[in-house]
Amino acid sequence: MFEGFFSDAVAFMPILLEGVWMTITISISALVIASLLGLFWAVLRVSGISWLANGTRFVTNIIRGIPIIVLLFYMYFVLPEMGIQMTAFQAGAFGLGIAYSAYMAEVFRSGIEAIDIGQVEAANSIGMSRALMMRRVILPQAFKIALPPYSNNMVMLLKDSSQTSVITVVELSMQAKLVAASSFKSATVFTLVALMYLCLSLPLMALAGWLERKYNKAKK
Amino acid sequence: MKSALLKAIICTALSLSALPGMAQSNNVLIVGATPTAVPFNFLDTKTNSLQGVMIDITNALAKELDFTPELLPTPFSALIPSLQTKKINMISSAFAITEKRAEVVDFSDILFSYSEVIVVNAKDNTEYKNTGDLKGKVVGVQTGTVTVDPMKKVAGIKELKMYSTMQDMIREVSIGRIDVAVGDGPVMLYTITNSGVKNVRAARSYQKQMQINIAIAVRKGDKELLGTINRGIATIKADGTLDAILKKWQII
Amino acid sequence: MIKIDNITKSFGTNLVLPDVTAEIKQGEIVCLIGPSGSGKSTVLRCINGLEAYDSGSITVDGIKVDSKASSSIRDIRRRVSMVFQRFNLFPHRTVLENVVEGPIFVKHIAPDRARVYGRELLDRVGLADKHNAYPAQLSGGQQQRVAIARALAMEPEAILFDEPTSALDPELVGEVLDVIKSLAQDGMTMVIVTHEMTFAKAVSDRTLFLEKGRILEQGPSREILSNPSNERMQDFLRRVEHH
Repeated sequence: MFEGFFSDAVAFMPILLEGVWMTITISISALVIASLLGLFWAVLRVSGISWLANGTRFVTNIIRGIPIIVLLFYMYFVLPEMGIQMTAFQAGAFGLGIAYSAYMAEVFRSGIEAIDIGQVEAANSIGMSRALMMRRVILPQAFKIALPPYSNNMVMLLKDSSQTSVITVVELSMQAKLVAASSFKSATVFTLVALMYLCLSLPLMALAGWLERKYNKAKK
Repeated sequence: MKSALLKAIICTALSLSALPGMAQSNNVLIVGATPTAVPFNFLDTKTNSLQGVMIDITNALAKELDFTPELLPTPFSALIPSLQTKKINMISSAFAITEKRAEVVDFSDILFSYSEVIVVNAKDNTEYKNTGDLKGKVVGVQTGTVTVDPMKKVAGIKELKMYSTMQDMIREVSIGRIDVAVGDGPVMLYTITNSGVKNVRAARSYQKQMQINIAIAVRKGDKELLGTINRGIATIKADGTLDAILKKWQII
Repeated sequence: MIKIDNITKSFGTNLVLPDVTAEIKQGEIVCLIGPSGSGKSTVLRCINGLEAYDSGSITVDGIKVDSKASSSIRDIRRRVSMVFQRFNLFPHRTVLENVVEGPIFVKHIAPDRARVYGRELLDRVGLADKHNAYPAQLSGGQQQRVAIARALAMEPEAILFDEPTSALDPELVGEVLDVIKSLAQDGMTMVIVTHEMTFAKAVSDRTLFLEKGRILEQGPSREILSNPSNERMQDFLRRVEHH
């Protein structure tokens, strides 16, 4: 089953690497969208203004309740009927980004709520506005608390990027299917692809661990 | 840290801002194909290019009708939606004419036809002649193909199992997990010849029950493109180009 | 300068402050003492709007304290700083950064100027050499002194102290009280909630004794702390007596 694994690996590599590049770029794009949007949801959730907080909770629940494939399909195939055309990459990045924004919102929200109320009072007592307090006091501290669950989500997003193949994004898993279909060497191809995904996800997890340790030195 | 974040945001913004081109300017036609069916269209790993019957036919039509084809690898389930939402201009793939499909897309004239082939384990000596011989057997079919519905209607099949790829299905036959695999003739034959799978044979005695017709599909109502394509098809039929392609890939 | 007129405050069904009236003049140092639950911290936190009182009014320099009026409350908080029982320093900033956070980001003073002033203040509280340390690396007494420097950095007209030494180990209390005493000598208006009676007697002009949200006795500190006329206050002082 694995005869000639290395020679096949060398032959398939260039094609699979194209897929890797696509996987990386779409994951980063989706991550940026998920983080910015997630932060936005989180800030609304803790704003103290009940209609904003409740409305946001409703929206994020809807996002979390829909499978990612369905969201992607919606972005790519349904929105055009309402006049919004997107390339597969855009639909993939936005679909994946919006899906994960709901999880990021939870991560940021718990980070913010874990901050001691004394910090809020201290910021208030030196006359900070709510926006300034968020920016200078709350969010920097929340970011450190949120780092472990955030990096978990990062790795999951990377793996879920494979779902964008459904809307024609030619990322790594799609390339793998094409190569397997024409070479008939599924075992080789998918072993190779699993290793390649690990090459992406393991360093991410290591980076997250390093960041966590670095930031926890200053705090305690 | 902050500058890395900023760079990520800028890269995202740039890669997302590419506007989707509408598929029709300057004789570029975007063609949807699912390149996982050897020999119809597949990714040749040696040249890292798409090859196959449908690729050659598309290129022949392009030359004849003077357009530039841009091939977009598309998962099978996304072919029709992509056509309907104008992401692609036409489908040129192992995409057969069926009544249901004809309700949502317009098909060109038939390019070529073939029948289904059934594959069984090499140790199975049954002489399979028709669907009656499938009684009590575990049968596999590939999702999305035109063999699925007819097989669903066959009485007496012990179990009908769905597979996403033909390779998986044939492998299951070789290890004895299913008795019979049913699929598109050319693809089945190519797979058992070239995939290195052992312990299987095509049941040559089987009487062909279906006629599977391959054509090109365009958006419903796109009469202009349909007319153009049909003209092209007529030409490559008449001047022997089509025959040459079919011979090359051993369809006929 | 700080006028408290008949304020009431409830937390849910608990009427913590049934009726409080008091006045703190410019340059005065006033101590609030009383058993726990007497509402003394609540009164303090109503002054800078960290708690919102239900009725009555508090004015600071003539400006009404209204927690919901965001710009006037920020104005008041620039005039009146606070030092907390649990210090509440920003753990992700150095000592100096903690002190200059307000001046740079709230008062928009040029960072260089703010840092020079910040280092002077740290020197004043005896922590000049710790300017680059993080709060986690300091003792409780040192952290509280940084908190005082942070309060001073806003150049306030008054400072509110909410049990500034209650969370400190006994041997660290003295260094903080010394800093507060030096502020008193410089004429800063202060309102201090404290359990340290000797300190209160030594430093403050007036003392207010609260129980169950009412001021039962008030007067010049030296007098009423040595010779309280109110029976409840006598009880209280007897119980607290170890200074």
